[in-house]
Amino acid sequence: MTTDARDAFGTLLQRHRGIVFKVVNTYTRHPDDRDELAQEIAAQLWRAYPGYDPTRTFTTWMYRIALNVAISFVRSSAQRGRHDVPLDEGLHDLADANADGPEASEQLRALHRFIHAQEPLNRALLMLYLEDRSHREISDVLGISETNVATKISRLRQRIGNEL
Amino acid sequence: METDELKVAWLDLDKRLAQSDRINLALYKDSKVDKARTSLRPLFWGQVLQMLFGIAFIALASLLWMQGPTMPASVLVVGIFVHVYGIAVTAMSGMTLGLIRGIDYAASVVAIQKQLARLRRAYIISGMVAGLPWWLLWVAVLIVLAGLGGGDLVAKAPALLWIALGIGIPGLLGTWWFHRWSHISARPKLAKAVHDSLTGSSLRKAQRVLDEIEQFRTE
Repeated sequence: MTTDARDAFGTLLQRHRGIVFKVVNTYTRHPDDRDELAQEIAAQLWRAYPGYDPTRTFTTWMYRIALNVAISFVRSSAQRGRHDVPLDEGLHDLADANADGPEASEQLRALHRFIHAQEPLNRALLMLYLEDRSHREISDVLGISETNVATKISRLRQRIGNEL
Repeated sequence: METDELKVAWLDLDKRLAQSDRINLALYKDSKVDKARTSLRPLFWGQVLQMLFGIAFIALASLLWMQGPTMPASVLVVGIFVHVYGIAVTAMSGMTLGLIRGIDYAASVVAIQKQLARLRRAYIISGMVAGLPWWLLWVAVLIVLAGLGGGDLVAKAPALLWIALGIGIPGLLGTWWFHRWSHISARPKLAKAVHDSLTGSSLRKAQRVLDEIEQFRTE
């Protein structure tokens, strides 16, 4: 890859790094896992970048790769039985860092508990929903129909209402 | 908590993540990316080795065929067995390598996760194809090697063949019977343990993931 392409990729990654952070945080609890997953996502994005079609949305492309890497990571981590830390311990650094107050931290914990209770694919859906992504983009990222996205989101909202 | 509150909490998390600069994305900037662990790389090389292993058996059988049509029937039959084994191992490894090549993480999540689960299943079946025949294959290899030297091991040492068959056939049948018995004897825990011991828990997990993806796609 040329230096220009490398710089362009670096700029895009820097601009959209929040996507990587949020995916990482949605799929991991342990700080070591966070670093490892973030690096795996960055490496996979870098490898796939030569095949990126600039006529398509960069964020959609990025979500697809980041979520695919994260889901595979979480499945292989579960098989290896690694870093099964208690939930609150894993959240400690984020929930308490510059906390706005006990209520905000408790909401954050409840959100994390709910996210981590979901299956990996539903977790992706939930994350994209919380990100306010359109049904069309969610459908494009996940590879399911828009109708299916709407149905799933409706069920998700119902579960949120019941469980939180 | 209402969904709006959930979204507020999510935005709050977003802010905190932005403040927490401990996640390092700098890996891509240096050459380490080329050396970075990719989960599929060991699988790729493992399958290449397995394919070479299969080709070696095809070559072994081919050496036998090159000796001409005059060979004892026992050597001929065993040679065919070794040849078929080589083809099966090579084909399964080739199929698994083809699946690895088809993985493109930029495709949609459901498509890639399904491909990964299929790949995992193919890998496990490929391992079983390569491993299970060894209940009998070891003696077949000895017979073929003797045949290459112009000897007929079955004629010279029939006891060896009977010992091999005496171990191999009950071994294979026992494996099959125990697997079947554990599944029909209303012992789910035993069935799971036996299934896992024969195929590794990986096959069951791969299948479960495929089912989960299908359910997600269709429900």
